[in-house]
Amino acid sequence: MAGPLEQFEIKPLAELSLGGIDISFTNSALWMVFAAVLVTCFMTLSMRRGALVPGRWQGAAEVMYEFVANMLKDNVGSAGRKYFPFIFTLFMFVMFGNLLGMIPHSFTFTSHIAVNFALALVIFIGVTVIGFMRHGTHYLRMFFPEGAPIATAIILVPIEIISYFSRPFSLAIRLFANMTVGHIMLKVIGGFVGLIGILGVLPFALLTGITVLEFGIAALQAYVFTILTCIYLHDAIHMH
Amino acid sequence: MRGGVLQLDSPWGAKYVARAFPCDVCKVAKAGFTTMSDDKDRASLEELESKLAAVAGKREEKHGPNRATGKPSQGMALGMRISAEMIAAVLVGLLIGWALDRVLDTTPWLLVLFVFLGAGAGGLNAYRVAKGYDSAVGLGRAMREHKQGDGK
Amino acid sequence: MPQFDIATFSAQIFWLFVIFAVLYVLMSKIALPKVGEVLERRQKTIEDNLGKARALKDETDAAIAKYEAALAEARNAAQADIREASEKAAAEQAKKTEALVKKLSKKTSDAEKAIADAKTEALTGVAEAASEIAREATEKLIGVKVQAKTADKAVSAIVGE
Repeated sequence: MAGPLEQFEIKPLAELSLGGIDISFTNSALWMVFAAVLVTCFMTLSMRRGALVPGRWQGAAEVMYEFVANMLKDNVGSAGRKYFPFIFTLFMFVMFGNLLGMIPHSFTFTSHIAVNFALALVIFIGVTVIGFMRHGTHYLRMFFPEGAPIATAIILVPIEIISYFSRPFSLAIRLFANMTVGHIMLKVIGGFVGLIGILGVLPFALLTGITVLEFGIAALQAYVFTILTCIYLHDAIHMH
Repeated sequence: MRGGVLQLDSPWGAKYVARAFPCDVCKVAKAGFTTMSDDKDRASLEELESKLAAVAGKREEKHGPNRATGKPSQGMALGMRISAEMIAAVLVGLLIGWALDRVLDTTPWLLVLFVFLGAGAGGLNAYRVAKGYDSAVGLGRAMREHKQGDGK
Repeated sequence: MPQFDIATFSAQIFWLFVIFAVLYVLMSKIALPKVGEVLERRQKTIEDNLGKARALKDETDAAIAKYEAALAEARNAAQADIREASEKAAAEQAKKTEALVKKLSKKTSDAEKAIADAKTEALTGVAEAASEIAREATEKLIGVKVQAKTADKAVSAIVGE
């Protein structure tokens, strides 16, 4: 019986390298391709007819569109409009990655800290650049809470700087932790059910419950990842 | 004798008819023009009006602001978020301290200092998450929104 | 934990960027504009229809108001006509009544005068006859011829009592 951590293993499917750096096409990349293809199919095939009165699939695609659009509008305002394609791609990619991970024997690329941190870092750098482009050096005021006594700056500024820099980490760690813990739990309890066979009714009920919960978490974490991006974007554009 | 003559000698009954006539005309006019089909039509018109207003209201509502400000999450999700904030901040403190130590050649003092600062930042962030200022590590706004929320 | 195997990072991150970039281009160039267009078209259609319904409703309201105004006007005109007619009729009636009353009272006074004349004539006749009878009677009974004047006097003295 495979250990609960085996599902996270990266297995190269085609060895590749570029300038001495390993860029092998792995199972992680494969599932990213699956997610991207599914998202693309979902968003294009369902909208193929572009009907005025949407069918089931078109309705679902429109709900996704409006959901992200509203999230962006509510959290960033109209200035966030031009970032909509990015936010939408981010949300769909992460959510489909999380959900595809629920398929038994699949691979969850969002359970890997490298992937999450790379995404978070791109967001973090992008948001910081946007902030400095809009506000110049004034953006640095971000690191000192308004109305606090000047004397506290020496302690508050480092803390706020650390706070600011911890954004991509907490973004990445949260998604990683949720995906990893959930999948380990499913695996362990699933193994338990298989081990005690017919007597595993109770663990099976638990497994079912946790599976449902995990589906919820898969969607919720994609939402959290995206909404935090929106909030950071808001801070950069409006400076609180 | 004269009064009697007057009454008896009015075979035309002109005065009597003249008085009653306008009222009858009114009654006939009212009955004919307003009551019959018109009330039903008016009711359906009013219904249409209210429907139109309702649709307009619904659309307004849908397109208006409906921002859900973060309320504290619960249970495992909350624990996960708090630990993520703590770990992230300490990690960042560690990284900054380590980098500064290398640049300034002060090993290990800045590392120690920044781990503590990181813990402080992590605590602050965790506090913010737990209080439902939501994920905003970006201070002022979340605080102000929270105050506004309290002021309501 | 396989997640912390740094050797796998470069491959993961490389493919993440490639695939994410492709997906981003697909979304921003193809998928999202289509959805946006459909939503916009629907929004426009709905708004058009709502506007149309609103316009028709307003038109109906205006027509009703116009109709009601016309009705009220007609009613007022009719009432004015009726009032005028009834006043005219009443005036005519009053005139006729007055004429009748005048005619009747003239007839009455004529009749009264005729009766009075007849009465006077009759009374005169009676007195003449009485004095005649009295003279005849006196002559026949006592042979005395009474002067007509004297007899008249005597008769009128008795009648006059």
